[in-house]
Amino acid sequence: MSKLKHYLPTVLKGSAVLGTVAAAAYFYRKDDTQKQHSILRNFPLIGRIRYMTEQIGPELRQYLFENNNEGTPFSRKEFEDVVKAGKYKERLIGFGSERDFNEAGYYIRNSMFPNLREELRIDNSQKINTKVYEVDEEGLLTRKEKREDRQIEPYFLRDEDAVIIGGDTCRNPFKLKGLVGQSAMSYGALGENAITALSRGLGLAGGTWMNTGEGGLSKYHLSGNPDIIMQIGPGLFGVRTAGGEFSWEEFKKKSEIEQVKAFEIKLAQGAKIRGGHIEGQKVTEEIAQIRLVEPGQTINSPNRFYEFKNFNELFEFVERMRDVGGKPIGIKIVVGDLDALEEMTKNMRDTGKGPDFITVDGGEGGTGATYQELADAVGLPIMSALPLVDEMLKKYGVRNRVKLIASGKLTSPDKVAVALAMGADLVNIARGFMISVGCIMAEICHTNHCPAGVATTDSKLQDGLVIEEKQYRVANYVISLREGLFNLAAAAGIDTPTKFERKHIVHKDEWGRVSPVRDITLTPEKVEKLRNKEKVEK
Amino acid sequence: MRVLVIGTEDMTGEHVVKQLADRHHNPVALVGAENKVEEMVKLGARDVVSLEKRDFSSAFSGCEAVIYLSSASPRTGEGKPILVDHQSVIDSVEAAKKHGVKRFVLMNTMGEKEMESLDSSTNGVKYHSEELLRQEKLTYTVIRTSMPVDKPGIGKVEAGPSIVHDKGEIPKEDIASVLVKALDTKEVYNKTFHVTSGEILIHEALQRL
Repeated sequence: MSKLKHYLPTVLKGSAVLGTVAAAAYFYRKDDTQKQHSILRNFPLIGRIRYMTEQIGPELRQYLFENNNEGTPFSRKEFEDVVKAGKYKERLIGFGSERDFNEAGYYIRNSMFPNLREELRIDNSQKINTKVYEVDEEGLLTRKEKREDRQIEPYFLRDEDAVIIGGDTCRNPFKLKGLVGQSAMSYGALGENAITALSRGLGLAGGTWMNTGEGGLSKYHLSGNPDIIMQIGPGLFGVRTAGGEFSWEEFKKKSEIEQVKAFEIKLAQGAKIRGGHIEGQKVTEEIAQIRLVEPGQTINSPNRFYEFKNFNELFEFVERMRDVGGKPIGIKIVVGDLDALEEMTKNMRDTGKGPDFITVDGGEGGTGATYQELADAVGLPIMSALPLVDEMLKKYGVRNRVKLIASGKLTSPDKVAVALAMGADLVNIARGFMISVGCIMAEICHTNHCPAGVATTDSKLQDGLVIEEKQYRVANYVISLREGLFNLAAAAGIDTPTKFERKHIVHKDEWGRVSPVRDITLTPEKVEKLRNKEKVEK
Repeated sequence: MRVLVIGTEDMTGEHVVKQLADRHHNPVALVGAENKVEEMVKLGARDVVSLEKRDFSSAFSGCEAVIYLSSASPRTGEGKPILVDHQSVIDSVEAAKKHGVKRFVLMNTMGEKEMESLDSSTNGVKYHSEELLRQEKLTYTVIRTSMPVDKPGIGKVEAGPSIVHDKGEIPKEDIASVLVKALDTKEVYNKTFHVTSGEILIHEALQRL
C-alpha cells in the first residue's frame, strides 16, 4: 500500500504526459493526411488552435474583449439595459453615459423649463402587481438576490391621448393606451413557453399589444389575454383553405375573437423579403392545426400574395377584410422603392381607400432565419424610412387616416422617442422582448437549438424557460419603456410622449455639426429633385 | 359617507380614494394640481378639489370625515428632511372643526418622537400635530405605520399601541385599507395605534384594539 502511495504521483504524471503526447500525435497524423483544410495540412497543431479560438471567439469577444458599446446586433450595454429593466425594473445608472458622443446620432432637444412630474398627462389609476429582483449581496462568484412582490404604476396614456386605429373606418376600432408593443413573432419560430410568457407579461402590463407573426394565432398567444394584432403573410397561415387560398370564413372566425383587435397584411419584413419555407418534420400536429396546413408536409410560402399584385387590388382586399371583420387592417412594409411608396400614397388619396395602419420595418429589423445579403442590404433603416413615409402621407393629405408603427432595433426609451419624433405613432419591438424572456443573442434562431429555450420548439431546451418567472420580466420591460418615454417627454417640455415631433430632436454628425431633422432626412420634395436631376443627366 | 382625502399624490392616497369608492363612500380628493383631477375621478372620487383653483378650506364643506395622509413635502424646508408637514395637519383640523366635520383619521409614521432628540430650532415634532388633534372635539384615530412599500396588499396586519417595527414594512394598499376601515370601526375611535404587516385580517386587527 505504501509502495503504491509512493509511486502513484509519478504514474499519474507519466500518464498525463503520455496521454497529451498521444493525442497530439493522433491529431498531427489525422490533420496532416486530411485533404479538406490547407492550414491543418501544413500546420496541424497550430492550425487546430486557430480553429478552436475561432469557435469560442464570439464568447471571448462578448465577455472579455469587446467594450460595452461594441457587439452586434445589440451591444452589451443595449442587451443589459433590456435585462435590467425586465429583471430589476431598474434603469438608473451611475457616473455617466457610456454612449460614444463622438459618433453621429440623434439627440432629444431638452427644454429650458422641463415639465414637472405632476404636470405630465399620465393615467396611473390602475396599479400593476408584478415581481422584481432585489440584490442583497454581490460577490465575485455569487450574487445573492431574491424576487419580491411589487406594485407599480402602469404609465398609461390618458384616454384622450390614447392612439386609436381605425377610429373612422371600423366597426371596432383599436384603442391603445401605450405606445410600445410586441412586433411579429410566430409560434413555431418561438416555442410555446416563450410565446406564453410574452402573452402573459404583455397581458399583465396592459396598454400594449402582441403581433402573432405570420405563423397564425395560437392558444399560447391568447393565454395571457393581451390585445392581439394577427399578422397574415403570403402563406395565409390560419386563414387559408385546404387548397391554400384565402379563406374568408376562417378570417371571419378569427375576427370574432375579442382579443384580436386588428389584422396586419405582411407585404415585406426588414430582414426577410423572401418566401417562407418550413421543413415537414417541423410541421407538428399542433402547428399544422394552427396554420391550417397538413402535418408533416413541407410548406413553401410564396414571397408575394397571390390575392393581389398592385395597390388597387391590395386596397380592394383591405376594404373587404375591414367589411367582413369589422376591425382595423394594416400593412407591413419596408421602404426601398420610393416610386412605389409615392404610388401607394397617391392611390390612397385618389381612391379614398387604404390601410388603417402601416407598419414600417427598418432594414435593421431581425428575423429567425434569413439570408445574409437580405438582412444586410435590403430596405432603408428605420430612421431614414420613417420620416419619408410620414412626409409622403402628408404630401397626399392622407396622414390623418393612417397610423404609423415603426420597428427596427428600437429597444430603449430614447430610441422609441426618436422614432415617435420621426413620425411614428406607435413602436414595435421584437428582439427586446426576446431578450426579456431570456434570449442571450446566440444567433442560432434558425437551427431550433436556441440554448435559452426561446427560439426553439425543442421541449428539452424549452424546459429552461420558466413562464411564471419570465412573464414578469416582459411586463416590467414594457412598463419601463413607457415610464422612460414620459421621462423624456418631461425633459423635452411636453406633457405626453404622443406629442413628440421632429422639432424635439436634432442630429449631430461625427464632426459635431448639429442639424434639424428636416435637413438630413429624405422628403418627397428631395425625392422629386433627385428624379428631375436624373432626367436632366439622361 | 362623504370623506375628504388629503394627500392623494402618493400611491397610498390613490388606493384610499379607490377603496372608499368601492365601499360606496363618496370620496372627495384634494389635489395640488388641476392635472390630477381626471385621474382622481377615474379612481372613483365623487368630487375633486384642486388647490390651483379653490382655497383649501372649501374642500371640507359637506364632508363627514377626513382622512389625512401625512407626507414630507419637498417644500417642507431645509433642515426638516423627514418632518411631517404638521402645520398642514393643524390647518386641516381647524378647517374640519369650522365645517362641522366630526371624524378625522390621521395617518402618521412610526417614530413620531424621533425628532425630539435632534437639536435644531428648525425641526418640528410630528407628535405635536397628533397631540393637537387629540385635544380637539373630533372623533379622531391616529394610525402610525411602519415603512410603506410599493407591494401588493396582503390584507393582513399587526396592530397595537406599540409594536416592534425594526425593518417592519407595510404595503401601501394595506395602509389604505386600514385607513378606510378605521373610518367606521368604533373600536378605533379616539385611539392611537401602530400598524405593520402581519398575520391578522385587517378588520379583525382593528376590532381587537
